[in-house]
Amino acid sequence: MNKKILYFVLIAAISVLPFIILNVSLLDIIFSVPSLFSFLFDNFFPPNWNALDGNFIIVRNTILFAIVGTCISALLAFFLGILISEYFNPFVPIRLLARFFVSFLRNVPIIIFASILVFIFGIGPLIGVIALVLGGVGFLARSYANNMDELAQSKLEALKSTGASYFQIIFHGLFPAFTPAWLNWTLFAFEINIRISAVLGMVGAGGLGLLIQANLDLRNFRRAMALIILLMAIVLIVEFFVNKLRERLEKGLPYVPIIAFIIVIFFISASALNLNFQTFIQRLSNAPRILAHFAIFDFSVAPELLAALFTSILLGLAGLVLGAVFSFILTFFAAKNTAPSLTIKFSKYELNLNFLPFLIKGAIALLRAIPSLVIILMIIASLGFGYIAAVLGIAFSSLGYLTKAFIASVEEQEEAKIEALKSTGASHIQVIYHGILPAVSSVFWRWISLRLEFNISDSISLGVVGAGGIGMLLARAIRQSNFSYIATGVFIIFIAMFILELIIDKLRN
Amino acid sequence: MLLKIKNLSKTYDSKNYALRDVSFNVSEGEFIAVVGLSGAGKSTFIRCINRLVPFSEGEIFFNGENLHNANRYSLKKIRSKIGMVFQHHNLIEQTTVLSNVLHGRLGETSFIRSALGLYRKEDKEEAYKLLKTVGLYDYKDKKAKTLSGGQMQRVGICRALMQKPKLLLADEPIASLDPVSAETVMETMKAVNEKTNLTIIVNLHQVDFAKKYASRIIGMKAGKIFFDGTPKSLTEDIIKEIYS
Repeated sequence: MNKKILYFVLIAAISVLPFIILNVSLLDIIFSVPSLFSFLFDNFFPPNWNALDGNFIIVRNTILFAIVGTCISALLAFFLGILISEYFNPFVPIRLLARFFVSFLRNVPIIIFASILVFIFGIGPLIGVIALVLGGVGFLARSYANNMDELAQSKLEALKSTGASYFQIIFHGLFPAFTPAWLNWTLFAFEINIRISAVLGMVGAGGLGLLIQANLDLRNFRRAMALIILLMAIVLIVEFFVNKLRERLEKGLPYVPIIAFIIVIFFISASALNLNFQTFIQRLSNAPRILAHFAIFDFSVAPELLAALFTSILLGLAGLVLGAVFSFILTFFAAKNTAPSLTIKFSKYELNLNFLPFLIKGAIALLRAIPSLVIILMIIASLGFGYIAAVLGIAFSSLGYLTKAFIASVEEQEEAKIEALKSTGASHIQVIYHGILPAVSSVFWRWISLRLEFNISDSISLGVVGAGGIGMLLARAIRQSNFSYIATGVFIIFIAMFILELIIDKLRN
Repeated sequence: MLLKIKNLSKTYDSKNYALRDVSFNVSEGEFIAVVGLSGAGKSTFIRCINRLVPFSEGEIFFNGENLHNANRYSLKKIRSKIGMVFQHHNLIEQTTVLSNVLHGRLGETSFIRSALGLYRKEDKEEAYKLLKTVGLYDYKDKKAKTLSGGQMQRVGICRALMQKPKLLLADEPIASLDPVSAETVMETMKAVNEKTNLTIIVNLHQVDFAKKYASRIIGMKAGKIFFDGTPKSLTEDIIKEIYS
């Protein structure tokens, strides 16, 4: 019991502290929501579809970046996955080195890579692809390695016992056994990459993000909205087809033709993008010289960077708290097994609210289709720069993510347990509190902790597009070619995110 | 008469009937076993009695109250007087044994009290007493998921008895238990029936258990009552007929 109270106090403190330290009042944030919506409604609608004219290539490139970036990272991450895997790579120093490299890629926000790459190589489609590959490898290599190790412990043991050699095990065991997971993770990465691809433009790496940000900056909100709606449509259509493909694969659609098809799509996309490898290689020869600049750290600026990082973390945390609380409430109105059957009676008129779950789920799907950086930029455009806009933006993107995850967890709960509590004469809210909550709370915490990593990465990135925190300091340093400053900043971000990841992993277990 | 069922029918798709024209009366203190093939309508039947499954036609009177007319509030009141035990015990496994037993009082406890764990003192004492009678008092602070199947089912019975029910329904309570645990669970229910004169209706698919413990057996076949009588009058021929 005492432990429970301790946790409660701890969580309450962690939830309240960011607001106190940032000196933003919860009431101010909540009361700014109506004005946000009225601003969005008045200024962003109706969308001005002229914005789409003549921008076909940019829209097309946004999709092609995601395809090419995902495919290349799937291949690279497979080899890195083998290097990270405890089973397939017995050489500890190489394994640790690979693990460190992947962890670095995963923990530094992709927007930061993109802005550094733009700085080294100049603007161009290739930068978008490279940034997506770096981020994709960071995400996929670890997922792949975990999966490979699981396989090794179960299925591959049998092959080993037949006396198969290392490469035989990889070829006859790992390839066929790993393919389903490989495809599944890669499709997941593709869904993420299509969103990232649309924001990379904000730092000059080409694609839809550039247009959206330019229009927001010029306060051409109706034009920006047309582009955002187009982006949402692309994301939703991609998700729809990826889900269909997943269902088919689960039902036994053969993998080999699908992979062949993906390879063909990859080559078509890559050639359509017209990636200029020659200039890239020319510039690449300069890369060692430029990278050498980054090898010098300047720890005298560390306090300034740390303070800004702390602000970024607090913004991410505050947004998480708001997003999680509202997701939690929405979930029970939207999950099909907990949604109350509400009827509002007004004299002789009856209003049936059974459409509520559909409404919430639909709104959440739309919200999720907008990349978090775009949501944040829209809110900043409406409310002006400041912590309130940043927290609210992060809260909205957390809301979309968490509500969907929460609803899925609640809907997984067995009907039988709900039935058992109903049969005692318990009320609706008692059934939820005593029956469903204990079963889902640990899953909910896991989703929340996962979201925290995304949020902090988002709040660092939102600085790069001009909204404060450590990202803003880095963006300034990049403009000023202050290499040691950039290097120190990236290093600090990496260490902080790495520690955070360790803490969250510990908590999860 | 504790329970009066008149011309009860249930259909899920308005074509096929899971229950067809079922009528019978239950007096206080009876221990009724309902036997029959799976799919004969036993489960639907027992769930109609507390309206976990809404029935299509007919009437059910529980303790003189018409279930068909009950609104949401009175339905909750009626449910709180009918305890129910399930095949898969349906405990909330992440919470303690004691909380699971106390869930039986939810119908009589306000949300504020139940959420803060402020159950009445006499309720807690009743829960201790029940756990002692099934020999699980020492497990009261353990998480429910650490118990064995038979132990969980006994906790399930405690939860139902905690409701201070006038009627106990049990849907295949021993179907997923080993023979020894099954014996214990049936013994527990029989003892409650004899000591407190609690009326029990239990679905079983093992006829031997039904004959050993019940005071009256109802055989169901294709949604209808095929046999209704004492265990002795249930002959081998009738059993064959029910299970054909």
